[in-house]
Amino acid sequence: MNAPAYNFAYLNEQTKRMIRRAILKAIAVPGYQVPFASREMPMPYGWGTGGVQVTASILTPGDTLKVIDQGADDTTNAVSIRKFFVKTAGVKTTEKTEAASIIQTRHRIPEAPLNEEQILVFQVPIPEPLRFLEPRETETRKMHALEEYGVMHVKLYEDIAQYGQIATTYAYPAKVADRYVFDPSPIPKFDNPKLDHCPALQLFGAGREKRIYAIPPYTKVKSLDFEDYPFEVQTWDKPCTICGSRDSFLDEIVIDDQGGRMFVCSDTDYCTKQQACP
Amino acid sequence: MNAMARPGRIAPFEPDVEAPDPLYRGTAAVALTLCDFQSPVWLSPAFDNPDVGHYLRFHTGAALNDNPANVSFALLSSTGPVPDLGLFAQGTHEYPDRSTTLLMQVPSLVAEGGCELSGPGLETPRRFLAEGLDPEFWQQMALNSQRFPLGVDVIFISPNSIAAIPRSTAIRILEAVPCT
Amino acid sequence: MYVAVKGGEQAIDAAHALLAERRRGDPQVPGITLAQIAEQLTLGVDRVMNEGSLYDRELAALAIKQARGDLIEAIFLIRATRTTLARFGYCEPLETSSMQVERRISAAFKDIPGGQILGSTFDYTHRLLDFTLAQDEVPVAARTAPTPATVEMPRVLELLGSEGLIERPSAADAEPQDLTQDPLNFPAARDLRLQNLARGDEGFLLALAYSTQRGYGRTHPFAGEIRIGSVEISFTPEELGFAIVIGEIDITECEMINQFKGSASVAPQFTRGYGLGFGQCERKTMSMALVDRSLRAAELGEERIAPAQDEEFVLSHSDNVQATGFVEHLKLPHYVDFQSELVMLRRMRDEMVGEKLKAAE
Repeated sequence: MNAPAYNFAYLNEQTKRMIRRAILKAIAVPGYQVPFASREMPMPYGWGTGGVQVTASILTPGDTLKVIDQGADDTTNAVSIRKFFVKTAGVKTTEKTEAASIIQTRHRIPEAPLNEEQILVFQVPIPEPLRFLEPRETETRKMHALEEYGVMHVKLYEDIAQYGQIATTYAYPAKVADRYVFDPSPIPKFDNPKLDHCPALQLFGAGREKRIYAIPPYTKVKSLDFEDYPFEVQTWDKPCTICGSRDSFLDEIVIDDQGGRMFVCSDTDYCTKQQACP
Repeated sequence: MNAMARPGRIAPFEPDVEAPDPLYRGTAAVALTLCDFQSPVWLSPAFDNPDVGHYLRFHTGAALNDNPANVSFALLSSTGPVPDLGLFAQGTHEYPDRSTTLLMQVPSLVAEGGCELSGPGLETPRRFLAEGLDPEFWQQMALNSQRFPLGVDVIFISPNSIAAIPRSTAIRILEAVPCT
Repeated sequence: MYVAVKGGEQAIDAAHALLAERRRGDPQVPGITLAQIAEQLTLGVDRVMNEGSLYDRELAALAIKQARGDLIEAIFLIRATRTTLARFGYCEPLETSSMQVERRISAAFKDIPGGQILGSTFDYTHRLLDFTLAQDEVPVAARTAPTPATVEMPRVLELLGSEGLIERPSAADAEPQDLTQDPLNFPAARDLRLQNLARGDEGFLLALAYSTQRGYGRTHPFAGEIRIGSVEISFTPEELGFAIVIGEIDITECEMINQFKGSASVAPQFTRGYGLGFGQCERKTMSMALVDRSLRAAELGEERIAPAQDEEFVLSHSDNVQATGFVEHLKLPHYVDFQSELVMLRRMRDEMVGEKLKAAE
């Protein structure tokens, strides 16, 4: 039995063409979820296969790839995906946000602003923002077709009635180019403002659910809210213990069982830079 | 992809690819990158010759289809008549992605005069001119953008450059300067 | 002083090395061979081929060994392998009526042309652990009835069909779609539904089938015919223009006879459910046939009230590779989102305390 030889970035050419066609249509209709025939990948569904397929389809030998999970390059799944691309594409990798041409991410947007030469690829578990309000794809597709987002506004309103505020803290829905409501993937709402008018192209891949969507550069992305309950981001009352930043998303580290806590930047590259030049 | 994400931005594009007349090398490269047996192709009269047909079938496996409403890709040229963009697949309200992508060959692309493009992908409005295309074509394109989210998406290819305008782009035809 | 923990890559490498050790187990114990798995754990191999959607006994055996006996992990390995294989095209439809039958039964009739052939089955065994199997003893050769070279085994459902008692199988003229090439949209046509069920998790389909027998949607099933044996695969290469036989595979086919359907103008007929799988997989194909029939509820004008009749529910959750991926992904770090929830929860609780204090004043 012989081991098969793999194509550049693992996917065969026909699969890449199929995904590229989906990406082009996704860019042409910002925020709309394009169905695609997701392939079985060597990592499990739910572990980034959508992001991996998108990255594999746009990667060229000259690219420099950064892979992060929870904002860190060293988390086990980010390590695993980075190794996958090194093995199948031999591509250069980096931990520095500004040195990367493609950044594949799970659950965070890097703190450092992105530029026009970069592409951000998000791993998405559930692409449909209305899914937990309406489980049927047949129904949600109609809602998007008719721009009927009443159920979402009702949900947000009910949160306010029950909790005094909108209770969604991540995967916070937003409207793209004044047309489609979309799910930005489980990034904390803290990161939502970065989606709006971003100079980089943002691509979203959901492997298990078989959807690709996109936000072209400089596109309007407005998080849903009400006039009297405007969208707000999370804040912490302490700075990062390591670099002192007050502007980044902080992870909570449990130090002891006496309730000892410390707060540290989730974006490890950003934290390293802040330490070097605060 | 970068062209579609930044409408009207003209990028140098001279791939090293063999292409039968009258296909430009750029057009051939785009076809090879995107077309296969799952994406039927329509050829405008300008390309409807046995060499082009054979080239596409052989290298991509794409099926040629003479109904523009049934195809994923259409090859057109500024040398031919202005097509009625409404004849191509427009997508459906539930599946706007199921529309035709047009590959439009033109003698050259210029970043001035002609039309003003704005919308997703554009930080500020951008001027765009594709030589050889009738004003009627741009009227069609403006109508196309009004059909958003339905509509076709267009990739422009010259002998040495490439640009694209997706249906999400608003098009303002500048009266003073004709688009040819 | 907190220092961010580094070394994720080394941890992963060490974990893989430990896995390899555990997989091999005690080095004094002989290593299990692929031939042993294929020959002696055949039904496990059959399941992996089915849900992996790839007919290759050796690869399935390798997957089972690599997966340490976890069949869903093995199925995942086979699916991932399948993706990398070159596709030449589609074979001609299998002619199951020409099957070299090893086992063939019908519950609908006492006797049928070609006979009821029990074949190799657990059906009438007494489920008592057989401790002689703890040793390796080659069993005495079984007695089989001599089978004449040509024995007619017409399909039971065709016998009913020739009398007009059962609906004709729906042979659509359109080319069947391929589940692995196009994303599934709803409503789904029967060809895609059957492909989805064929690779669907046996346990999930079994439970759904069971539910239909207990009142959650009812289809009055009878096992019209179950046949197991080998069939030829024919393929027409582009260059030749005619079909050639490229090999043989073992399959199981189950045809269920279900609740009849009729109206004021159309005389009632029995309806059908269909199941097909690689190797010997009766439980799977029977479950598949029951769920297939159940999912035809809309087409047959039946009220849809049960989970097994809910097409989107059944077809979206039948794939165990997808299911295990998503369920197990909860092990991945989610601390950023959890942090977001913590921040909000603490704030809400603080506000409540604040409000209580204000109210008390």
